[in-house]
Amino acid sequence: MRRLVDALGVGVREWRTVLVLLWANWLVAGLMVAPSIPRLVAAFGHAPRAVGRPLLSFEQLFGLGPIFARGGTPSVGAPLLLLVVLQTFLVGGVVWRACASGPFRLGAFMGQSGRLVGRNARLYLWLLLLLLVAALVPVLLAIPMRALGLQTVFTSSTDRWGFGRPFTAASVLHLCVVALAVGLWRLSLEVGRVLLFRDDLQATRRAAWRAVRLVLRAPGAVALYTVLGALATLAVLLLARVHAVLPEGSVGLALLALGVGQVVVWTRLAFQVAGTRFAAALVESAEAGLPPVMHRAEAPDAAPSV
Amino acid sequence: MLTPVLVSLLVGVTPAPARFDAAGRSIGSPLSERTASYLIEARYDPAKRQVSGTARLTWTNRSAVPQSTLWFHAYWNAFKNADSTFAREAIRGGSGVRSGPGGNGPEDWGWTELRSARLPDGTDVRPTLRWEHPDDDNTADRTVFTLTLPAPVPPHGTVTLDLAWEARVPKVVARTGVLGKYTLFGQWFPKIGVLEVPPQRGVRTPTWNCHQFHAQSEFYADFGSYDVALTVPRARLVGATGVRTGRSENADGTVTHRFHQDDVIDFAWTAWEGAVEVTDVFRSEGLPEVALTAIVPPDARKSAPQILDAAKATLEHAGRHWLPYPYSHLTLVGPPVGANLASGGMEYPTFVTAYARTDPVTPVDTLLWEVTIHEVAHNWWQGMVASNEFEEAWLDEGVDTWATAEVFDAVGMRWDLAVFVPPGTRWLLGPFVRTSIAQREIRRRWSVPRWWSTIDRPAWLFRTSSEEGQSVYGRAAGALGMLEREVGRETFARVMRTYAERWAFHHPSTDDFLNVASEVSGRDLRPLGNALLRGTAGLDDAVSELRCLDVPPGGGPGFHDVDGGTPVFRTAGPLTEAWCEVLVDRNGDLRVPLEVQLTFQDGTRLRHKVPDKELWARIRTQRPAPGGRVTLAEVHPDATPPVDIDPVNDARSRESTPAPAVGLTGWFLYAAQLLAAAVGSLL
Repeated sequence: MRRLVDALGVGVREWRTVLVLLWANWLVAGLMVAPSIPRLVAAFGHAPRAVGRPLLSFEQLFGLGPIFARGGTPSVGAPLLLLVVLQTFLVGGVVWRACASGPFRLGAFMGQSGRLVGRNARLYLWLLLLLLVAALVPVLLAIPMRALGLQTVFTSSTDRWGFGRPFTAASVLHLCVVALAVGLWRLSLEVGRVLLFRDDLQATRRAAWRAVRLVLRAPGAVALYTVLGALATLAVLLLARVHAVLPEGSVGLALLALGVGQVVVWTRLAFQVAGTRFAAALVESAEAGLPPVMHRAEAPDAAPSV
Repeated sequence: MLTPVLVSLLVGVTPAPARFDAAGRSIGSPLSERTASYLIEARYDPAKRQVSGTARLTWTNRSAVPQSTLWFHAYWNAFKNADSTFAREAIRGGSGVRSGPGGNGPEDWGWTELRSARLPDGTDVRPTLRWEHPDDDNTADRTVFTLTLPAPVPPHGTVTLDLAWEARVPKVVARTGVLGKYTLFGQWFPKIGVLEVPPQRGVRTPTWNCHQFHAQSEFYADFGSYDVALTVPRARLVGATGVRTGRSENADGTVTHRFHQDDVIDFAWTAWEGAVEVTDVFRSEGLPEVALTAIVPPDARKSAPQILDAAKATLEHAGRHWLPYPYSHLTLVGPPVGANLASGGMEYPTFVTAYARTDPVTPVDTLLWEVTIHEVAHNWWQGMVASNEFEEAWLDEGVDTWATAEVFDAVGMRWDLAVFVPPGTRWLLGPFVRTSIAQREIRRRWSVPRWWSTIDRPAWLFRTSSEEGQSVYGRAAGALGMLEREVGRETFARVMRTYAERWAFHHPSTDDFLNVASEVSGRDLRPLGNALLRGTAGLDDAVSELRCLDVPPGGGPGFHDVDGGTPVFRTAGPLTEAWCEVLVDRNGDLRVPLEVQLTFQDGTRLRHKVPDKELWARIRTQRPAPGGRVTLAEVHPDATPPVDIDPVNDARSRESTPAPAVGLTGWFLYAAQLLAAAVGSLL
């Protein structure tokens, strides 16, 4: 638990790192929405009958089809592609912040990002293989469960979702297996990135393999990392719930909602940094042969100077 | 036992006189012609999923022409193999909603087979059986057959046929079938078609109306009396159309349940082991008393009170506004989990299937209420006012969608999409989709400027299954809303009551409905009705532009013909006049009277009518500034047309209204940020 708390503390303290990630998030989201803004302004900028209606009213949110019939639908593909590039680039800096103890410098952040971007990309591709294997576990588990008449949330019929109880002991258990499989893959990815940074490895396949072995030897860490992911999901949902119940109807309220929305996204990104720190602590403890509790202040700053 | 009179004294409610006695037999003269009546004895073997039965059919030839060939439905052969018209259409259209869980394979198929058809003299006319496919060229379809009699049924004469048949119950599909220990029997016996007689539904000569079973169609039948004995294993709970008139134990461990009902068009039933029965009574001042039975799975028992309450609300509203429910009993079935989408939400006379939820939303689960109201209201719109669901599906589904919205309004109910959130997560996820949407608004969203198909057409002849659904439900309800807007709410209420009174226990057509509407309203509603129901146009009238300029009196700088002589150049003077221009567009093809209202800054208003032939209009005004500036332009200022695609663009203000655009842009941005964050977490 101390490792979790330590990781969460880093997620909170590294606000400048989160700010950089939020900037990237804004850039991508802005590009997605930009084509729609002229249409929305044209349709609603002088529309008194839209005033005071909730956003989820049919006239507004569900009635946007005719407005976008002549173009202006949000763009998704290209911005997400940019996100892939940006995220692959920025994770190098995030790993640096998770491992190092010095002050945040944007130049150094970008430098580390640039130094590691190629290797991080290759590492990701190698670990996609692990993702395939990890995905097979819940799929293979679902087969005997189905034969035994046990439902999973993925095999529950529409009827059960609509009229019965999709969440049973068996389906929740299966969901936990899914979460653990994803957690294993994701932690391996994070550990691999830390290894690339700390040991300045050039061979990404070897780094991937080392990361997988390290993670497989630490099932407790996988479980804790999965808990961290669950906490992130819960925190985001709870904050998004606050966003969902905000009143609507004026520019001020819309800006307030946007502000609360930033808290939601910020929380998600802070958990991302916390996750990387969690992986760094795992690597540090493994390499030092120490118990898997590590404070960042005690860790050596292994980052090559930039 | 308390008599109805004593009950009424105790609870202070005086019910209306009953139209049927405790045995389901009509009191006084028959309510219908009873063209096709059945005396059925059937035995169900759940282990083999088989039904064997005999039916004594008494059929009257209502025409003036002798009839030697009788047409029948064999509906369950739609599930016989992948070659039936039903299966082909379902596969082609990808309509899986009613195909049941997991899809149906050969082991799930069902069929029906006529074993004999004997006349009173013992002649078996079964050898004359001939398969027909009146709707397509599918010779493999086995859902319609004819029998030829040795001697024709004379005009207005009657024939009695003793039919014997066997059938295998399909896995639950298309409003019938078996799932576990639950079995629903709908369209389950050899059923005679309808011989339409002039001037019924516009036919010019007596014509059999007996369509194949289609993936996108329902049914059509004549009224009659049903006396049915159902033998099932003792453990099976039985609910059925009509009134239970007997129950006898048999030596082989089975029980025979007897039901009877006069003046209905069909008979459906369920035999369900382990189900729970909850009973109640509908009592309301001046309306006939109705015994209610809800049959639900034990794990969804909590749904029963809401199903019964929704049924009562419908009986109350319909009894006051359309016709009092004449039957003495109503059975409501909530299927088990796994069979709701395939067999729930189906209407039969005095017997409907709704939905049942293990954990209904409390105190009101809109999903349960909506489907119950809709199916119970079908007892009027198709059960009694027995339109042809094959050929004019809008007359039952569209009218019933309108009716459902009426009951929703009457009980003050609105949709909250949070009801769709699964139990266990509602506390967390419910607020994300919390809404309050009027029932009639739900259907509007599927309007388009131009449809592919008209509303009034056979159900299987729409371009897609989704277009059929959108057209015969919401689009048709919107069309009724347009007629209501045209004549006013009170007049339209009289239209619907008159339509129900006049056509109950008969078979009306679209023309019959429009004729009643025109007669009661005193206006010829047929042109508008035909445009809506037999046209493809949609409606989206909009104010596209509104702009104002302050100009000098007589106009801006330039050459002006001041006195009719030589134009003279005049420079700009003081900007004392407001020149405004409003552009109005008909974005849809449907032309309804279009009025534009301009509101000026000084509070005065101006109305302008756009000629029906024009697709657009530009309205210009020039009045002294600043009071003469137009601040607001609206089309249809008195009431938004129910089929209007986008009511928001019906008005445009000169002042900006930033809140909606900022709010929506912010919402879009937030959603995009969440998407990016979610994808980012995988990178």
